[in-house]
Amino acid sequence: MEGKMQKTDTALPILEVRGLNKYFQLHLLDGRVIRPVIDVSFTAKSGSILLISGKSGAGKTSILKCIYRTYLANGGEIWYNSLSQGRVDIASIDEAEVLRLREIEIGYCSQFLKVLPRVAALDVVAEPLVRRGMAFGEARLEAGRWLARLGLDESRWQAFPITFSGGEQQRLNLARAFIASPRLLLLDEPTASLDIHSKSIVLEMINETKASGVAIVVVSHDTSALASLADETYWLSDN
Amino acid sequence: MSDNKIVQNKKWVLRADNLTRRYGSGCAYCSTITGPDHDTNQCQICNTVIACSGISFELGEGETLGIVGESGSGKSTVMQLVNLSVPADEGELWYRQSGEYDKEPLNLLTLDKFKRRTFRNQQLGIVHQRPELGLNMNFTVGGNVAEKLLMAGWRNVGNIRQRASQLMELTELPPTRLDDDPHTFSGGMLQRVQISKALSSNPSVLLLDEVTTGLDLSVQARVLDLIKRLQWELKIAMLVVSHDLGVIKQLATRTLVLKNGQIVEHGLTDQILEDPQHPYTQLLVSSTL
Repeated sequence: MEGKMQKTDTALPILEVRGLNKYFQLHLLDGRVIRPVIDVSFTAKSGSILLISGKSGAGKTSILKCIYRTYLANGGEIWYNSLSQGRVDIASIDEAEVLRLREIEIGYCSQFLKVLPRVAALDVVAEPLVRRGMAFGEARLEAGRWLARLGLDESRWQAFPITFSGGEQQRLNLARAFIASPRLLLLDEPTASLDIHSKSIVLEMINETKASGVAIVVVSHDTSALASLADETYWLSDN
Repeated sequence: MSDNKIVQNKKWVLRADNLTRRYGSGCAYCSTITGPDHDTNQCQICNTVIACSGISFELGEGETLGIVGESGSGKSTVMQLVNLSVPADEGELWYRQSGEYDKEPLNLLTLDKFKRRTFRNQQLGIVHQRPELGLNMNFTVGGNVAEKLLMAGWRNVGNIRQRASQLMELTELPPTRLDDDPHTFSGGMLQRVQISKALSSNPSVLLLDEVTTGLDLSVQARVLDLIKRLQWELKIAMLVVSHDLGVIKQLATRTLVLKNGQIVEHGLTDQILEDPQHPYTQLLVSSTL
């Protein structure tokens, strides 16, 4: 995806990435510089799926992390049409604004589950709803519905996620992302550790989420599974 | 990232502007030959130690802000300044009641000694690394909580005992041990007693200074779990100082990185951990076990 990508639709995009650049300067390695993202531009619209694919190390995850502001962009703009804050450049807004967007509007599902190891799986999934003010009991019921749908056995709901297999952790991670009903959902290799049955459920959920009007940016090397759902697919060239 | 003027949150309850604390007379060269670029906070000319300099931050309503750095970086000095237990040489420390964001904030550093003490007892709670700094070891556990409540203006003995029992339950301590000597408590339990005492007057801001340092791993985990639960239930603003990035990761949403008394980097905690910009932050992150 080196170079510009042209917006062809006239609908206002919810996300507009312009000339995004990201490099890492490794001060402990004599200032060596790694450039995973060079001049990337694209747009994402509500109710659509944008698939970004490419080889391992091509910079797919770095793009998502720049949008979520886990990484600081070194150049370019990341315009997001926020319900609460209007059109904002995620690359330059202050940290408190980013936190508010994360809490309400932007969801991110990473490849790896990163939660407190001693919290029950049900509570891990319920957390985004509780954070928004929903009562614990109600949030847990909703969390249970998502876990059941993703095929996680009820006997595991009170267990600590650290004891889960890779596939179970991924389903938990997905439930946590979907339950928050974001306006923009960033998915990083959502089908990577899943068996065929779980994968088909996740693909169905992604499609339903898209139909509900959510803009989804998904990065994956599993193009065979996701390409049929995607409205647009971009291939990242090696840097 | 190196600017120390950080304007973040319109709904702040506590704001520090350019806080500076020196130990020594100071000279004209102090500010130019100390700090992270010079890898020292001691002036080679006048021997003044610049414990912290130009510290600015905002603490939002219900937010947890982490301050991380190695020993001697100035973390605990910042905590002492915010706790009004040492005076600042420069800067301002502003406070606003939660929800009263249109009102004029209060500059805490201009308060007289009596008002500072009242403010500290009513609106601030602090938990120290060493329990003997936060507790009077000659008082019972209940007596320690009562001490803070009495200083915050409580006078009814029955109400004080009831509040102390509630806090023991909240911090997972057996209320039956309210009248026990703190010396009979373990390290982890003493941290819970400190947390009880700190929370007793329903403070606006909770200050946590290396609360898990020195505890064994399982006790550390239980204390962290307790603090996490309190974050959820009380929605209280917290300032967490730690040299342990694991603690900061678990508790803080935003983080300041201190070196030689100055902020060298600030950001969202996940960004600080995954995409550290400053060489010192990269060194800290790479040094975690």
